[in-house]
Amino acid sequence: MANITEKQLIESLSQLKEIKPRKEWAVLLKSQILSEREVAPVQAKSVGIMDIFQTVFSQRKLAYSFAVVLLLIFGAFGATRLLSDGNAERQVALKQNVAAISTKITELTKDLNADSFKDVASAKKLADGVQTIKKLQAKTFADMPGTPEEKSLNDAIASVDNTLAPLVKNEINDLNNTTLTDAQKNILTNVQKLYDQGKYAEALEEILLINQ
Amino acid sequence: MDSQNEQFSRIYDQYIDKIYRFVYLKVSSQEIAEDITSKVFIRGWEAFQTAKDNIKNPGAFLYQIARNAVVDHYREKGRDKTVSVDASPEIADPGENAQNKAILSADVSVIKKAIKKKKKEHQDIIIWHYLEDMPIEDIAELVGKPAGTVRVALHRGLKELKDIIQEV
Repeated sequence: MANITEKQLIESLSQLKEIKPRKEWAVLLKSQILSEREVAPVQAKSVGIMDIFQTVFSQRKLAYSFAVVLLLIFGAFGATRLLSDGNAERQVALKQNVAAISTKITELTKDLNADSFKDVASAKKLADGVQTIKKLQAKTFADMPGTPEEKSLNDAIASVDNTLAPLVKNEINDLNNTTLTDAQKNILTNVQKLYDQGKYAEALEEILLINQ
Repeated sequence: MDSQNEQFSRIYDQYIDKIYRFVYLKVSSQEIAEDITSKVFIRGWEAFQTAKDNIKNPGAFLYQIARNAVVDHYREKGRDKTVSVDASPEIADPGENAQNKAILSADVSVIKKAIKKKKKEHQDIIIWHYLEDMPIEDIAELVGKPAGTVRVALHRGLKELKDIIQEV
């Protein structure tokens, strides 16, 4: 890099601002520090679980396998319950995991909103994961009803519905402007019904059938 | 999340990029930078919980922990003068084409290598002022020296950095 002026050097130095930590790592570190560091015994018990999160989320391909990721997280819920002896420790571990899940759902929803991931198959996987959460939700939150963590998770789930609704609507509009067979037209009628009922995940499943 | 958690959460969000960058430029390895940055914020959180009122300037406090952590790292491992600087940092997509990105990465490598050749205090001052836009007065407080001394060191450090880069 010959004959560089001081002004050019300062400009080049400011380019180093582009160096940033991995987003997944930064989010998980924050979650770990704020959730675990207050209660040392839980920290020791939870390291394995957070390691699983870190390993899974640091691999982008796996990170977008929504259902797999979410099921793994709920597997971790079970492991946490087995590992934790006391109720207080279990509460802290659950809160920590719920915070991680909420963050992940929010991130995945944002990715889905981005053009590169705005496809029906990915949306369906996310919807499936959320359905799994909804089924487990009552059992999971029996110990912590009305907590900020539960509200955060509910907000994250609501954001998925808000993302899926326009996606389904766009697909319906596209299909309405496409030449369809009689069988496909019947499926599309059903898709419209499911959309009207707010059953977006099921509507997406039907759309995938049409597209196959 | 209680108010103490919220306060530290805001500090974390404000400084995670800065501290990571500060550490990364000194160690040239993403893995080590993440490890050291983790330690910095864990120590910061522990101190914050026990002596929050004594921490007047969280940024200066975290940078001080980071400086010590980097020193500890090299003390433990032994300073490796031949440490590779080829490992590319994770650079946010500046929205440019691949060629421009490659040029940017090349410049980053050269500058990073040059910074690492400088005295530790000059490294810190240059990073704080030109990367993090920290005012001279704040740097002076951080290093415990008069503002005039910092200004001279900054000017001298930039000139030396320029010479090192031109030799590359």
